[in-house]
Amino acid sequence: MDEKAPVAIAKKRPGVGRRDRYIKERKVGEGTYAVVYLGRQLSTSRVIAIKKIKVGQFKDGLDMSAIREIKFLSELRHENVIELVDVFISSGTSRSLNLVLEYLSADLEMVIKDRSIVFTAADIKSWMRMTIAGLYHCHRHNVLHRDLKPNNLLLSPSGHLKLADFGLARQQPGPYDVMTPTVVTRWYRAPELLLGSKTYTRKVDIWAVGAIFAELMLRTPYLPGQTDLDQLDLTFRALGTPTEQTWPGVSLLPDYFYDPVKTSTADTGKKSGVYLAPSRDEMRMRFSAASENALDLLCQMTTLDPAKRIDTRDVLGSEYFREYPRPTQPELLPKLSKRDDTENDVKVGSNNTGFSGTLKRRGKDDANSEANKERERGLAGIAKKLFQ
Amino acid sequence: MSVNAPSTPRSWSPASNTQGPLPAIIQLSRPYLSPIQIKNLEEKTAHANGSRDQQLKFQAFSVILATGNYLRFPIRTMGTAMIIFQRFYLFNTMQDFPSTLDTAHACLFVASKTEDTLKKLKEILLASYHIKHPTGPDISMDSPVIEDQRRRLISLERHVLETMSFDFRVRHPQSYIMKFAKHLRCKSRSFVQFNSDLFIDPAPLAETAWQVALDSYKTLVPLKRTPHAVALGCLYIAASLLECDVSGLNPERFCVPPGDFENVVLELLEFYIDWLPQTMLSTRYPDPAPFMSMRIELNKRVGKYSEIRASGAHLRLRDHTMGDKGTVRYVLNWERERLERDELY
Repeated sequence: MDEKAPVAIAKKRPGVGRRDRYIKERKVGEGTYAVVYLGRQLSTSRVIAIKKIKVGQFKDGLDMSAIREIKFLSELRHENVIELVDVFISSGTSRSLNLVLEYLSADLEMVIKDRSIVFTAADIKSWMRMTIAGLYHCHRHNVLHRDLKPNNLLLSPSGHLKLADFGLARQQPGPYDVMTPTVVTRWYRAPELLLGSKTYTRKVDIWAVGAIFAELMLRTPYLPGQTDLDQLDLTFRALGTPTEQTWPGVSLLPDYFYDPVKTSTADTGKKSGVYLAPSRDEMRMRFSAASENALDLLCQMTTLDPAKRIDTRDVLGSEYFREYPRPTQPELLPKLSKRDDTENDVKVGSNNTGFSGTLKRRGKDDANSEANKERERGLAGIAKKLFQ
Repeated sequence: MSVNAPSTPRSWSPASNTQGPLPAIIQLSRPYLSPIQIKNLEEKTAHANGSRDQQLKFQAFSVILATGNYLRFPIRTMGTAMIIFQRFYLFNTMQDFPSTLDTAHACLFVASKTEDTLKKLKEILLASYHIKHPTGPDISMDSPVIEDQRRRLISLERHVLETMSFDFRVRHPQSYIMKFAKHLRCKSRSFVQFNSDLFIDPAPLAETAWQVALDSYKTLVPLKRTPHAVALGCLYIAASLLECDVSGLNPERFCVPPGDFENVVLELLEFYIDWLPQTMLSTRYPDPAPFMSMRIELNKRVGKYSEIRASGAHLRLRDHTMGDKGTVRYVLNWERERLERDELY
């Protein structure tokens, strides 16, 4: 530690001690806890994104998500995980903490929303493969991502997909450690989280990827719940209500409230009946373009019981990735049209402030963006189609 | 920010337009320090009154432990806080940061963040207040005392994080203690039918070793040695105290480098001999004699190991004003730095 490079030494080793390693070009975004600038690494002319962490105005010091990003990204190196290039504190009075991250031009959500793009089965497989490869790397190093969603799967200009936004990530906990169940954006939240489990596992990430997989095929969110309760209802309607037979131990979860006596009395104001698990034909109808192996994989990834849900290693080895068509080369994957590219040309993960931030931001998005409203409308239609 | 603005306000000054490298500080993270490095650092930070410093540290540790227990933090959070605290006062002097209690709170706060046991700073301060004044007047969240302390701690948190080089890799010996103890049980079980003397009951052994591990946080051992070496050292001390057979504790079988194990044990024993009243074991073993005889025993073996000389024996103290002098980059390891240098040439 504390290896200072005074001027004399710096001269001997040109470049090492240079201060102007990066140049900020322009501000491209601002979140609750950080400002993001587009910049360039001087030595290599590589385009990078600088995330300047706001300090000072928070009553609890450095933001937890900044700590998590530094903690995990500085150790994870994988072609499908966003690279943390540098961490530095700038000089001067502000003394702000800066994270230098890889520049990524788009995210998967933008691609899904762009109606002018047509996905082939090979494209979907390619994105899935890269997501799972990145996630496998995280899980192998005992890191849970806990906020996977299309918005956090960023795409490099060369088409490579990278996992980003480790602001909610944490280490795989010990056997009796409790964790907060309010993680992962609602639409991608696994049932054990919705039922309030505090000892969940890395399988929550698998569920989220399963939901993303379905979203890639449907081109609209698979389970877009309006509230947490609605999300639970929607999940069970789509995949069946879990019972002690299908999911041993489910009734012990904190928020499990099903009471067989009161079935369909609907005193909660919600439909609380038992939904049957979808038949194979039902699944085929929902995902008409999916191959049998793709459907198998999707069902395994969205198994309600986390103990029976597939893990990343088995996903990578599944038949789906072995059958034709082969995954598209990243360079040949569909890109956003130019217009979108200039509008949103930097993504380094969203700047949420943590648990509540995720939900808040989703709410804000819904209220603000016209595109999202349109999406909601589309999805109401889909939901109807799915469940009638 | 205008287009093409340099990344630091500093470089707007005309002097920075000259070609050639500018002074910027690269701070490498060092998860472990060699004994020589620590010795050199201690010489630099040494206060005229060394034992007073040690007493202040013990006071800080008991605050960390008591506050952590009050907030029901897991042991790893307190352990991390103590390791950070030790590191902090290796690289910073007590003159620059005289309030060890504030530092202890800041370390606990940082540890609670990095170990995913997040608590609000005010909760930590309130807990600490309640411990300090168990019968005294209750204090409100918005009391100016707490508010004042909070503001001090926020700036101290920055210093703590910078001393850590934003490197949050801390490993703990406890899990290894459990696994090693279980392993020893399996091994001794297979022998038990031949010779019942070899049987080691793992529960009291692990329990005692666990307490030794807690005491190890009060030493510099976790900064010097890897957790599995510490764990094996703790088990050895525990086994010796319980008068178990220690022949199963062969360092090589547990992948502990030769010498590391002996050094861990010796350092822990020295700590017990010097500061026994401050340790967890003092209630059960108030007499330092068993520790002394253990040391004599071990000194016979340890002679053949010499300390491997590491490069960079002379580390600088942290200059807590260095932020005003230039940008500080935080680099996790040497390999990366070399990699980038090659790229530049």
